[in-house]
Amino acid sequence: MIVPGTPVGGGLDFELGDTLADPVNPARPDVSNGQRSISWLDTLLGLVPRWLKGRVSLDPTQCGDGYKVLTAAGAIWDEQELILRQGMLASFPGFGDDRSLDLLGLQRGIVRGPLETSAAYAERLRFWRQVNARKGSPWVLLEQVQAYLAGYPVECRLICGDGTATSPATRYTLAPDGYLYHGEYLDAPNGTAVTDTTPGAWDWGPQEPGSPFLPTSREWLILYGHPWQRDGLWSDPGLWNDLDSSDNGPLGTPLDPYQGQAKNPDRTPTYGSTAAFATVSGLLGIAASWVPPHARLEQVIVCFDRTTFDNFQPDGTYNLPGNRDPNALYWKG
Amino acid sequence: MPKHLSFEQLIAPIQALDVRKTLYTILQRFGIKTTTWQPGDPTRTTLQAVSLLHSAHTYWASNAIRMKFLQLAKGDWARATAKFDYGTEGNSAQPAAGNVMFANSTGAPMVFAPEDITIKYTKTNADQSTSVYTYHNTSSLTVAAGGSLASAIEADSVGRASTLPAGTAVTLSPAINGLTVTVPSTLLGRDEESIQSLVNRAMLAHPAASRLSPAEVYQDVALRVTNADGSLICGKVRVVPGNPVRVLVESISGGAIPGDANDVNTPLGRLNVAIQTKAVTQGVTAVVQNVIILVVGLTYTAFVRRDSQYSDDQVKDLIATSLYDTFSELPIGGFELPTALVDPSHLAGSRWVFLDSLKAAVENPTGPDSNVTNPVFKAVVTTDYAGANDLLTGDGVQMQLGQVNATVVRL
Repeated sequence: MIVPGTPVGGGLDFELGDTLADPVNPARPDVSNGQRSISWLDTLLGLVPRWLKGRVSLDPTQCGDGYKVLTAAGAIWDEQELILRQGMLASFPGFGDDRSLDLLGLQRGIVRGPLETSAAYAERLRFWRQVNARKGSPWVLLEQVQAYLAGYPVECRLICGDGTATSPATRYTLAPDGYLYHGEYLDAPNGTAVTDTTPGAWDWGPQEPGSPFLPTSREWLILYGHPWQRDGLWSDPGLWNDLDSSDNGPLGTPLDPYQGQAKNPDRTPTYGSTAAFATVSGLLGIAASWVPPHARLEQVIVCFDRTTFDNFQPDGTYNLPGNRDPNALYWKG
Repeated sequence: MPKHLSFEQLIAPIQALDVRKTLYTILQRFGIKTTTWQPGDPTRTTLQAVSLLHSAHTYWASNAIRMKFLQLAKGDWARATAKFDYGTEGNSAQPAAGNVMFANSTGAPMVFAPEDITIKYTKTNADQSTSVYTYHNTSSLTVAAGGSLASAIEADSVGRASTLPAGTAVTLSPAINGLTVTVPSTLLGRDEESIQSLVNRAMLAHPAASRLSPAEVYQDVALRVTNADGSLICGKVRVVPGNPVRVLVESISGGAIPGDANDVNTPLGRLNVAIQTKAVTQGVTAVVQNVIILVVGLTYTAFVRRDSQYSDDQVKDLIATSLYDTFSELPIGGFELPTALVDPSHLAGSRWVFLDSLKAAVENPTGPDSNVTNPVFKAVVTTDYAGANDLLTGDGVQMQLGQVNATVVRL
């Protein structure tokens, strides 16, 4: 192929006999019966009179000069057709490489998860209009967070409203495999808004003084099934993110599986869990982008022990860090 | 197997020289001794022509491929995608507009209808030639005897060239006995919307389709509302979270939007109605508020290389344009520092315009990537608002460039 800026002879991988098979579907049967498919080159050679081509042979070096010159000219137009074809297709998610996916994701407002496969991300990008049309909905926020944490069966729950007697909190739960019913949830089909029947079941605590938000506009995002672990206490010896120091590195081996990927090379740790700073930043960025301006995401709660956390509901003092459930970690939204 | 090209290969045009090298390489493989071709040889000439044509086509193809990637699309290609895929058209050039101060030194009130007053600004260009720009009052005004009044004017021409700098001496044409005009803050004219700005707006379009009031819907609606004559009302918007949601807006020419939010017959009222009917969903309230204009005077000393080909006036001209651009691009309310960068003098939650950004505008008047052509190698900048410190601002505050005291020193 022609590589821009490449010196003479370098990078040229054009070969006679290259087929111009369908780049969209490489597995397409070769309808040309093993012959090169019709191309600009074929067309050009077919258009000119025989005398201009000169001798034609299976060995290109034995062909007439006219044939050789026409072949060179036709070949570069075939190459250009390939570029145009793949280039136009690259604007469709799934047909280009990761770079084109990144650009499409940027302009469509959909953030890719560090472990999300190209195919899965491309699939999400195809439904960007539908997703954006629901922006502001709790379900869309949960979908985006769950997709960002792809690779692990993360269950996301959003609690909307601060659970006072006059305005019971509403819980939205997105199971790892979509909107499926899970037995341990309240007795209602998953995918529906479940209103707590017991006022005060979610009672976080008072808002900050002067908050411009309504009590019903406060939100909490709870994550279950994530791959992170507790990373000890502030008073523990050693370094942050130091659960595994077998590599003798100053920060130990990254224990956040989302960390260290090509999309997420930053090794900066966080305090309290093995989650990497970049992962947390990405997650909070998604939350900030998908929560509407009339609502406030108070906390992202990373739950390490589902049973105790679900039994240990907020008691109206969770606004004070010392009173919170120790089986969870709290990131300010 | 088909070749799968990388994205960079797909969007890079190929120069004619590279095409020719490729053609020659193929021919050499075929055993043709291209080095024996003399200048003017028919085959050599034909291949050169083919190379040029092919190269030209790759530039076209590159733009066609980039077109669907908004961050890479150029010129009319980007405009086409923004328009047909995102329903967003670029804004045309806008005249400078805003308030100036009329003073009446006579003993009787003066009453004027719209367009009664013509203001003339004679600008001396860097090459010592002069350009004349004229402005008209856009609303009725009565200036009390011995009093003064701020009232709106608009340039008769469009684009950045129509900018009226703060403190500029202007005259009335024809002169009106006893009436004088001063310019307290810079009135900015705007060129046709840049591609980057258009792309940023286009990307708001689809989230704005949501009926659940995401932030983008407020921005998109505000930036699309027009007056009855089709002219745009709002040039900048900031959504402050809360319930009510605060929608802070600035006029297309950089000042407060005239009118009353509760009067639909005024521009601000039209905008408010659009927000309430198109952006706000059930259970949400929103208030539309004008920005609070804060005029900031600036003093700088620019140190210029002695051998620079730019004259002092040209340097000042470049810096003035750079400062206009910087101020016109300031977001409403300035910037909030990330939590990690908060320090005792920049408390969490406070909002700022950083002196360094103004200094950068003075030190890089030819753009950030023009070290070779940049005549300024250092500058000292202060403001009348915060001296040599960063400028503390607030949620709805929009800073405008006031009078500029410029000194150019050659070293």
